[in-house]
Amino acid sequence: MDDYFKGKLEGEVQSELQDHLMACTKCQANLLVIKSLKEMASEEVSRYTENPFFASRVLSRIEAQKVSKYIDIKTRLIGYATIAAAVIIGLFVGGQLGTLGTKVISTNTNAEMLAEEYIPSSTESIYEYDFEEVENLNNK
Amino acid sequence: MDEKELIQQVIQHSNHQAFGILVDRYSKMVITTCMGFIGNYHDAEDIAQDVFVELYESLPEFRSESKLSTWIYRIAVNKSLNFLRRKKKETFLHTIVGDKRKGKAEQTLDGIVGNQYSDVNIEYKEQHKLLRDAMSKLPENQRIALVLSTYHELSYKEIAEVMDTSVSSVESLLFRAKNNLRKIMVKSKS
Repeated sequence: MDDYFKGKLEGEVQSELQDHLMACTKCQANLLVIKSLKEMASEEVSRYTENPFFASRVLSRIEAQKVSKYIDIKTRLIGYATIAAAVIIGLFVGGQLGTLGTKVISTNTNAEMLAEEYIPSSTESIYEYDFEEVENLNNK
Repeated sequence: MDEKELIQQVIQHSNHQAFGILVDRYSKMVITTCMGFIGNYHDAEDIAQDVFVELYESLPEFRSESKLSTWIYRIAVNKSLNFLRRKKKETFLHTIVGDKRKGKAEQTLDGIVGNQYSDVNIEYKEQHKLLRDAMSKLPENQRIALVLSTYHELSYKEIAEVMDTSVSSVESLLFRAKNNLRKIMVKSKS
């Protein structure tokens, strides 16, 4: 049918198909569809007018995409760097706070609290402490 | 400069001038292919731009064993079908949310058809609209074969290369496509 429409058929084959077409409504409808399709396609293709700015538009889009990709990568890198810096600062500050906490706890250990009972922290030097007095008190 | 040299220039030196020449060579082919699927010039040109942007990015993967036009046809077909799928989804969602207006794609298509054929008789315009509607109801692979065959008169072999299938499959696809078109058109007329 396509070949008939394109005028490629000749002689006997062509006349046989024509005879068939006269009798077969289904093939007539098929031929009409082919004709309409070809008409629509050639009409649309013929309406195409070259856009002189098309290539430059494509190239500027490619350029813009490159820039946006570069910005994307840059933004992503800055983001990663910020997160890394935040983690490092967090670890550092956390470490500092942790050490501070340990010191506070260590002043409150049982050993130190016990020592406080025998040698008050108000005593400036251990040599000022009256050991004899303490011993006498213990013997009593 | 022949095609191979142009491709080498683009791949090795990111030569925009060389790519511009390729765009000029293939723009008509791409726009009319997209037009065959979408039916409106404005959208077809937008999609054609996407096609060339993708071509630029995928050119390093291109193997010169096949023709560049085959590669470009493939991108154009995929981009056009993706566009149609997106539009279909949008129209569907409009219906779901109870929007009584027509879908944007439908409005555009009506507008374009109306503007394009205002000087031609109504019967002709109606015929084209019927045909477009019928084409949109065809299965995707039948539509691809039909567009490539009618808009560019590609041979069965060339269509088979674009669609990555056999020549006999293309023959059968085209046969079924035309039969289905006839059935759909008869149904919509009655």
